[in-house]
Formats: sequence, C-alpha cells, structure tokens
Amino acid sequence: MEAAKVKEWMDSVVKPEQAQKYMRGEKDFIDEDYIEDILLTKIKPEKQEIRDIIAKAQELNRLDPEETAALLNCKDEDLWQEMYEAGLKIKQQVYGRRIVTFAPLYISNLCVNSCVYCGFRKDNRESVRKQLTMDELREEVKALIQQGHKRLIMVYGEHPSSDAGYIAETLKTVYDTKVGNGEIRRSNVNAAPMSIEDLRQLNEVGIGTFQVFQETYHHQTYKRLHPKGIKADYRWRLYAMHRAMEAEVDDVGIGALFGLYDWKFDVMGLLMHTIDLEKHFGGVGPHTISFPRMEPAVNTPYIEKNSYKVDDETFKRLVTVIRLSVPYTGMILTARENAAVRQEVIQVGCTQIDAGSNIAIGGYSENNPDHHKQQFILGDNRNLDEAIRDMASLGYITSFCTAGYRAGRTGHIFMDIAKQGKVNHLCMPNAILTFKEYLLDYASPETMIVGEGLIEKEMQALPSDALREKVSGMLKKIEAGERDLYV
Amino acid sequence: MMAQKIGLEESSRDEQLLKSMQESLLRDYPQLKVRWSRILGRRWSHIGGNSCEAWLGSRQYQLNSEYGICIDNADDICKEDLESLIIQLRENMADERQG
Repeated sequence: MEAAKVKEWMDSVVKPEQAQKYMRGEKDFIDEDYIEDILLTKIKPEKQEIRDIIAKAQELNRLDPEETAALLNCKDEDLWQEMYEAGLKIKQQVYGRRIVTFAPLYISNLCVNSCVYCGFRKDNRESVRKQLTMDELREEVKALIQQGHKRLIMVYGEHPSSDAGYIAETLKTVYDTKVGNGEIRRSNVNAAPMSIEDLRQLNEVGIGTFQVFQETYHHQTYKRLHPKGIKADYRWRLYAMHRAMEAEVDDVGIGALFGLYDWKFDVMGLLMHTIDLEKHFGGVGPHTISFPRMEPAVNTPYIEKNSYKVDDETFKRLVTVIRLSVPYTGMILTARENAAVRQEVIQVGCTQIDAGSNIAIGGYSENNPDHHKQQFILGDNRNLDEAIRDMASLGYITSFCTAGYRAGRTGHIFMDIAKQGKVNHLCMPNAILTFKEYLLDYASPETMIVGEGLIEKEMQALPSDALREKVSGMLKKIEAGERDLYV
Repeated sequence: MMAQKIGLEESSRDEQLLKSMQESLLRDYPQLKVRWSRILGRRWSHIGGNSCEAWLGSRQYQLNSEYGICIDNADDICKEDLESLIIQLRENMADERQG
C-alpha cells in the first residue's frame, strides 16, 4: 500500500471527541499522583489489615485502590501464602474447578506502530510480514478445529489493510468454517483501539470479547515506548473499552504487559481501569483481565536491557493481587509463560488459558512455529492434548464452553451472575458437556482415560440430583452423536 | 425492569416493541423470568429483561432474525401455554416487520 494512503488512513483513525468523552476535564482516570501516594501510604500494612482485605475479597467484593496497594506492599511470606490460598478459593467459588481453553490465531502483522518492545513494530526489518487471505484463514481454522478448539482469540496488527472491515470479514469466515462435528463457536478479537462506528461493525458479525491491552498505564513510560504511530496516543487506547461498551460490545478485556514499568503501578492501573468502566457502565467492568509478561522477540534488544523485568515469584504475586482485587472477573494466563510457571500460577485464580498455541502467522496449517513471523517467543509449547491432560492431573476440567455468549448471558447479566458467585452453577455442567465432546472427537487414549475419570468425579460434585440427571441425559445424547448441547 | 442496558432510553423501535411485549407477557405470567437478546451472528447480546440470576432451566427461542428471548424458568408454566406464548411473540415480531 502506498505510504500516502497509509498516512491518510492513520490520520482518520482517532476521533478526538470519542477519546475525550469519558475524561474528567483534562484528566483521564489514571491519576499518577494518587496511585503513587497510596502505594507510599500503604507501604507497611498491618497483618490484620491484610487479613481483613482478604476476607473482603472472599466475599466477592471488588477492592478499593488503598486495599490493593496494601496487598501489593505485603512483605510477610505467611500472608502471601494466605493470599495464594484465598485466590484459589475465590476462583473455585466463582468459576469452579475448570479452565476455559482457547487458541490464539494471529491474522496479520502489518503494523503502523513502533512499540520498542514488539517484534511486529514497523521498523523491524527482520520480521516477515504476512496477512492471511480468507482462503489461508480457512486453512488455519480447519487446523485448529481438528485439534479440538472451539474458542479463539484473533490477533491483528494496526494497519489499513487490517481495518474493521477486514476484521469483520475474518470473523464471518471463522464462523462459517466447519470440519465434521467441529466448529469455532466463539471468536474474541485482540486488535487496535477503534471508533464506536468500527466497533459496531464487529458487533454486527458476532464478536466475542474485544481485547485491548494498555501495555503500561504510566503516561511517561507509555510515551517513551510508543514513540510513533497511532498507538502513541495514550488516551485513544485508554478509552478503547469505553467505546466498545458504547458500541454494545458488552464483553471487553483489558490487560497490561508486565515488564514495561513498575509492576505495582500497573496492577493499580488495571484496577483503576476496572473501576472507571464499572462507574460508567452500570457496574459492568472488564469480562477478562490479562497480565502477559514481556518475552523475547526477534531483533528486539529493548527486552534484554530493560530494568522492570518481573521474576516468577513476583509474577505469581501480581496475579494473586489481581485475583483478590477483582474477584468476579475472568483472568487469562497465556502460553507466553512456560509450562511450569503456568501450572503454578493457575493455582492462584486464573480462569482461562491458551493451549496448543502457535503464534506464527499461518503457523497452524504449516505446523511451523517460525519465530520471524511471531510477535514474541512462546514459553509453553505443549500441544492441546498434553495441556488438557496436565490440567486434568491438577484436578481441572478443560472447558470449551461458549454457552453464555450464545444464550444472552453477556454484559451485566454475566457480571451479575459472577458477582453472586454463580457462574460455576451454569458453567461446570457446560464444561463437562464440552469436555465430553473433546474426549470423543479429539483426545488421545491416555487423555480419554484421565478425562473420563474427571467427568465422573465432577458429575458427583454437581450440586443437585436434578442437575446430575439432566447433565447425564445430555452426556448420553453426546455419546449418541449430538453436539453443542448446553444448559 | 427493562431499562438495564446502556442507552436503552434511546432504544430502537424494535426494542420498544420488546418492552411492551414484556409488559404484556408479565401481566399474564407474572412469575416468568425473561431476558431479551439481540442476535448478532452467534452472539445473543443481552438487551434487557427482568432476570439476572443463574437459572438452569433456561430455554431460548429465536423470535425473528434479529431478536430472541430466553425464559429462565420456562418450566414454571405449562407446555401448551409456553408454546402459544412463543407463537404469539413470533407473530408480534413478524407483524412489526411487515408494518
């Protein structure tokens, strides 16, 4: 595409009036002085204060910023152990012993931005540029369906060739692709911030969750790391989810890339983001929170020399504090992390993981993890079947459930159910049903044995005989060949 | 009850129709818990209703190409009443299209 046309498109993307609509005068909701002040004020929290905050989280109440700051500053190892246990309890109470599983599908890495830590940045000459055609996309989707996937997160660079119209077309293509019993039932999107009008286009074709990560909430650091391109506009990005909610994409996902700035500040940023969404949209905050850590990328030296790297122990702590701070929100732990870290961190309250992931563009159908077509390098390369078996050994049932989004349980309906701690009541039966489909259609013999045992155990744990009977009847129908049954 | 969705005050003619259908439906069956959805591809996007609990007996019915209803406690009314209720709702939505 001609440079002049790209420039013209870039100049048309940001709608200043939409970026400013939710601001308080000249200020956005990230008040750095306030965040730094409470992190200092709560530098030495008392033991009892921490225990009171843990108790509040266990009652499924969102924490106030001062409370989250106190948890972040805790230095008592015994209290951290209590927090880890509380994180797991909260997760089990709200979401049950299940892990929702999806695959990332990278569609395009053409990008107009220059994020210094990203392998897809415009001036990275070693990155091989690629955008899937609809035929290539169908091949990728078929390869994913044949692994057993039902849920995707589709990822796009910011470029006129992957604008909202292209994204909408890719969503339609994904939903129209089927292989035997298999199909993708929910496609989430991770893309650049868009206008309300563009977001409505994605809503019309059945987008799942719309994800935009702020990367870092610290203004100056953000400016330094995003020197050029549309992404240099901090506030256009910061209010992307507000616009999505206004466009009635009522499941939105926020996130921060840990390792760009002080981890405590960015956890506070995620909380402030949640609070501002809840304030403007009738108590509905993010559907999911993601917390990727920075990973190496081809020809990206910044990653090696930056001083905010987060070690494994700190990572576990920050995930725990997010769990306690927003007890009812889904939390996504990606395959950026290696298998050992994932096995450990899942236990403090994560609800979703990706598995069998290949983040090279065209990588699933080519069965080739080409690092030159990747944004970063993955840490967990287990295939889906292995990951499912490992989850089962931890006592977690893998869920491919997409029922909520197809049964009107979106936005505030989902959030109300989550806040009452009742997602589990609907989702565990649906987890069992979708897991059964996976076992019958895709599992290895080893996973089949482990999985059937787990289903039996979870059937016994269902809260009533009536429900057990209902699910049992549905399992029989699945065994007889029916698919896509849900409560 | 219906106005739980962002911007519903400025809602479309269709959504106003849903609102009046809900009022009429709850006059006849005040015990029913319903949720209305706009159908967007695979997504049934919540637009209003009087139910926000996690119900296990929920049944969903497509009313036309754009809207659907989930009745969370459909077993609380008899099968014949439920069937005629859904037929009536579908007819109302079809009439609206023709009108």
